[in-house]
Amino acid sequence: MFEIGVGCWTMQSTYMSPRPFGEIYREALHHARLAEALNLDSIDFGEHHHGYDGYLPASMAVAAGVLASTNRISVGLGVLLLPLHGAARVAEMTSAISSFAPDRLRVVLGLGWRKIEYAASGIDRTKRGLLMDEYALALFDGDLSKKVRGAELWFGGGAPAMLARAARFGASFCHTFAPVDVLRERIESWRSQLGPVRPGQPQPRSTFTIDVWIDNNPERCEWVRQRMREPWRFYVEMDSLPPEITGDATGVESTVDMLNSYSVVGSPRQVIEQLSAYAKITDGAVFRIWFDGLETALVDECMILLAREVAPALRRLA
Amino acid sequence: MSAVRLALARPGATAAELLSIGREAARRNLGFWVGDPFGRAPNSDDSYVTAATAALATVTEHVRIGMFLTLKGSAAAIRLAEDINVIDQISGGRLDVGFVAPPVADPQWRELVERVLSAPGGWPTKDGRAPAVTPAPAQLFLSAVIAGDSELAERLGCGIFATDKPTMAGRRRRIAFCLADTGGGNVQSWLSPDPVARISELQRNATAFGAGELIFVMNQSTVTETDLNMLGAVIAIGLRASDGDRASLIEDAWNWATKKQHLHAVSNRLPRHLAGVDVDE
Repeated sequence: MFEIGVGCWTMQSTYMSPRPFGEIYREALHHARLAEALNLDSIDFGEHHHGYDGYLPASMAVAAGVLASTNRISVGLGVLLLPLHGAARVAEMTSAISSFAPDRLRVVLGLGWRKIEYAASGIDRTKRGLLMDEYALALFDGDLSKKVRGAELWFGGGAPAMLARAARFGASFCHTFAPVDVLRERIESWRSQLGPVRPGQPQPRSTFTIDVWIDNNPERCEWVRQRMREPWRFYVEMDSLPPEITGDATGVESTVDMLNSYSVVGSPRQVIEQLSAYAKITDGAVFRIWFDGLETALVDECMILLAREVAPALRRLA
Repeated sequence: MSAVRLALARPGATAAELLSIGREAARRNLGFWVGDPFGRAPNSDDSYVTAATAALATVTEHVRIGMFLTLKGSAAAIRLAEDINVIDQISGGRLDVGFVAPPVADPQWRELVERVLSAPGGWPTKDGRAPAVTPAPAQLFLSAVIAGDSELAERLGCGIFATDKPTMAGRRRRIAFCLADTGGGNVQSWLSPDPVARISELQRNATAFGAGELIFVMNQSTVTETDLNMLGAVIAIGLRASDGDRASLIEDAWNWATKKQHLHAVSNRLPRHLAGVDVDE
């Protein structure tokens, strides 16, 4: 079954689209309920810290709220920056959430790269890989593993070291978007190294995230394609992005151009065409259809087209 | 007449149990506190508490939600500061935070409380920067109370906790909360045999203490509908009533909560088959 989720709600109130935070959080709940009603598999939330725009720093808290307010849909946290939280905290929060929403939380573990996030947390950023290994070991193989059995633990990103880490723990992986050949190669590499699945964890799967906009109005598609540059500009400017994401691009504009070139924008038919090859090699996708500046009703329409036209077609291909 | 709010806490309960009780409590206009005011019960780790509180804040709309934090659990203080701000936004500014002081005075703990409360203005780093902890909470001034360190509470302008015994009578703060422990029994037996006397005593203590909220700490294994009715109807009404009305109102509410079928000709709720009747018909 090809799993289809929507993402990536980050709760930003930017200078381009300032909004009350209370409204942003309520809207996310509305979208979670809509996604559930449309029979989509998951809704995903991002995490960063110290953003001027209130970028969601506590995705686990939001996951708890969304899961308590819905009945079936899963919540994905992609990525949760494990070195900034620690294993014990993740286990405690997961345990609380699993008590009322068992098997509906997917925590995609990642590292993050922003220097200020690590500095403010008093953590040496150069040690984040070591911390990730230590905490992952505690969650997958240590005493804490019993506490996290009600949730799925994944890894995510684009770095080979992270992929190897996921394989070592027999865990699922959520890939950042890449050309289909590159993605196929990464999946094969992960699969070839895959260790035993840990008790309580599901059979490992590989998914990917992609910026998508589905719309039958070509003019609006063009506007969205241009507007999608702004979130990427935010990521590029807030700290240097790591090379596994930026490739060889240098400079803000060229990096934004390169990242935005991966976005898939168009009618349902066009989106299906562009993503059909991916449906054949992966187990699912998180369609990143939310970013700041979009009206609620517009996101609703995009989600409806995804659920009614794109999802069935991709599931048939998978 | 007292304007004291009423809330309950159920230390040791799982998040699932807290959600179930909290929803029912909210229907009776009762606030709810997550965690343990003494920081000892199971499921009172700060991270567990913030996750459960976030869930409860999302499924309720009007009542205030509190959480007891020790700053000694699995979470770094900076993460708790973020949790607090986000939960306050989720709840629309309905969050109260109770910091549970360690048994022995700890200067580092005090510093952390201060940092958490001032986090929206910046979190100091070793290299001299102070990035803001965002988003800011919905409330202009976060409603914070400190249990077990009234000196720190006074310095930071926070509220304080006391038991229902008037040991702290006369010491007023911006917010003051009383704790009433039902002692492991249910609320009905705690009120018996003389609910009027018990509630009058509660009100005297709350008034003497200047309490803004009275929190019932319920350590029994289950919290029943009768417990919640006793709190939401009998005690809340008794605390709110003026001296002349109190005894008769408490008696009536008590009778309603304990044997309402005998006292009322119709059931308490509109029968389902009558719901949605068009009044023009």
